[in-house]
Amino acid sequence: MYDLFSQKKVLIVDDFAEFRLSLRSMVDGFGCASVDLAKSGEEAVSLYQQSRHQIVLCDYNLGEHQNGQQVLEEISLRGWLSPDTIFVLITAETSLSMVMGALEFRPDDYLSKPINKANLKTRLKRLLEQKSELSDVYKALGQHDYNLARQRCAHHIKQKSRYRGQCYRLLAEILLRQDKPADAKTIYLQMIEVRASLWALQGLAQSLFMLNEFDACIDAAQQVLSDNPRAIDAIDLIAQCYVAKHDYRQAYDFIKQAVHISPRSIKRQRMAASVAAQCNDKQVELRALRQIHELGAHSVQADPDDNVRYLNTLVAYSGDATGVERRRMVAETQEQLTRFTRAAKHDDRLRQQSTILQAQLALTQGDAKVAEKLLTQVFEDAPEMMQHQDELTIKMLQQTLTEAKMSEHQQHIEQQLKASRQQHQAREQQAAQSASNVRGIKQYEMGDYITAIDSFRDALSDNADSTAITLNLVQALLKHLPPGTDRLKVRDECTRLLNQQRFLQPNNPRYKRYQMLKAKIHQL
Amino acid sequence: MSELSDQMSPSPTATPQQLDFSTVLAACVHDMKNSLFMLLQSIEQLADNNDLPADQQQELAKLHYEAYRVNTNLMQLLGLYRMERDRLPLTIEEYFVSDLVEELIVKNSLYLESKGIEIETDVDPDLVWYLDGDLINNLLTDVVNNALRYCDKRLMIRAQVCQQGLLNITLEDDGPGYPENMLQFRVDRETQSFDVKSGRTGLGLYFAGLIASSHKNKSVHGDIKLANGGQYGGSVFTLTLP
Repeated sequence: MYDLFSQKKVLIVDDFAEFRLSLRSMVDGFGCASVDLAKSGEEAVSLYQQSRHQIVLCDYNLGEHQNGQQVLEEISLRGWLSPDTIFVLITAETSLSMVMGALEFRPDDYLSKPINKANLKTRLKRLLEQKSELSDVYKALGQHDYNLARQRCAHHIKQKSRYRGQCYRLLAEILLRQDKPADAKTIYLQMIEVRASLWALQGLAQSLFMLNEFDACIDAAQQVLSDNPRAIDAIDLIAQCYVAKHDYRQAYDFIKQAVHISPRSIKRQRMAASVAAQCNDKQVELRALRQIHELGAHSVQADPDDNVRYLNTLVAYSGDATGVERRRMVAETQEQLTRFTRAAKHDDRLRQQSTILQAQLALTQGDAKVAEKLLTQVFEDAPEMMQHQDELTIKMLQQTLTEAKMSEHQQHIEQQLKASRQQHQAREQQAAQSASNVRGIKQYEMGDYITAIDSFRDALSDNADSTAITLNLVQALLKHLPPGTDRLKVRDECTRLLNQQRFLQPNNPRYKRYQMLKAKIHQL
Repeated sequence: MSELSDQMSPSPTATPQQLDFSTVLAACVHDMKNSLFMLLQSIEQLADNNDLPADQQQELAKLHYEAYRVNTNLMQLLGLYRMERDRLPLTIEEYFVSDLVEELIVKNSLYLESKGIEIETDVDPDLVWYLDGDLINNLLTDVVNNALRYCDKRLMIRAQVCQQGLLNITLEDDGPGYPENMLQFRVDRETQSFDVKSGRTGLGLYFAGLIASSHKNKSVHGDIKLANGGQYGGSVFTLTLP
């Protein structure tokens, strides 16, 4: 028989030496070309970057840092994940290995301990066979050529491939990814006709959500939950539906459940924080923000403002707390603030924020004098904040000035802010009408994204902080993603660009588009 | 993703000091499974050494078999506890039935070889069914474990879709068959009175029954049936899934 394993490079990732060696001794018996060992997620990512192993056996639990899922996300986001790689996530337990998750971030299989050599071999053999049978589909997916991937799925289905079930599933997921929820819904309904498998129900709920059919979405998601009360994606969806319906109380109940089941998702914790804020539950908001802050250290999903938001809430909350709770919170605030201030040394914005936070802390401790001194000092920087339209920091400053009863300063800022906003608006208008921006728009509409990107870059260099042009550039960058693009690099640039606009307020006519682009970047 | 790391974080209601039993149980099981994993590994490595005399090989196979049984029991324990708490979470997916059967055999290959037991299979390689792979695997593992203990030399695993459109997975052996009281087993009846002394506690059956009946399509539930006779005249276990 043709040997399936002889050409394969294997990567084993586990933080326990014993398990690594143990897995290695199993794999050695299969006659693979090479076996690499990694003891952390970071190490795994860099080894994978070098060798693009065909088989990755990765433990989910990798100690404090990245977990196995995050390893997969990172190599996938960086555009390194090769379509012929089999990524197997090893979990401690069976049955709860959730089979959902985003299209590109789903492992090829889950294995639960204890793993036995013979079983590992048959499992890998089967996965390799499936990968090679559907290799054309995975190749198109790897290049983000979704139309081609769909064509190829359809072809396999027509040929009555052994793996046509998998093809239907991929097909529907690609449709969702391409923003065609109505078509995806049709496929899911067809599948459910045969049998209501968990993924089909979940997919149906997802497509209903995208179609803004929130009540129907909640129904479908509830059906998922009646089979599996721990189906986290269904709970997330229901929470999102209630948020969309502005029913924050209900949303709150579900998001709390979701966070309880699986706290290690930044996206989910962000939602928890914002819903808790809506419901005025400071404790839950704070816990969510703390989690975001902790997870952020090892995730590509981190946001630079996560830290200051966390600290801002922490200080505010410690002011409201009493007794032991208060002492604990103040101690934590002091510790975190020291760290924040140290990191803020070489960054004007962070330094301003850290000064405001220190003033806030002084206020909660009844030290009005210190607070006033700090605030007077940072007040000097207010024009600079306005210049950058840094609404987050301005808001923090205004809040603290109010708390410190420095109403004159506060009024002064209020007036200046008004003038500065008007100024910006005028400048914005001018920028939008600039020749290079208008040219870029034409090129974009013709589908010529590469030249459009250049035009927008030109326009931006003449009008450094124009929102309109920045959004245009980001949109064009997101549109031009030829195969092999390092998506994380594009993502970094887009994030950097959008970050300059992070102060955009909901009443800004471009706010919606800004939010939409931001969501797109997160999907990259 | 991993049940464990997630459960280790305090619940929204509980203060960090009070751990609920589920957390303790999950942590213990996790730990024990890690030990079992190392144990099984060592056994397999020893067994790979062909120079061992036959009787020692046999002892190793027994060790391996018993270690696997402990693992199955642990999973049952955890599953039952979960079920009591918030029902058994099901993840219904498409599976090739032949894959499930192949895994069962491969997992037990050491024991099968040492005992000279032959397993015959009759499964259409392209037969696809909707089920919770982990739970069904657990269920069948337990049944095969028992069949291996009581059979003489032969075992048969068969999968067929019956006229009503249900999947039947049947395990037959050439042993003495099920004792009379076990033949009375019915899923829907009250919790079985576990007979601890007889060695066949019935716990596995109880769990199997629950897993089977938690699989449902429209209004049809899964079921298990015990009988004697069949091709080899021993016990016949049938799992029916809608």
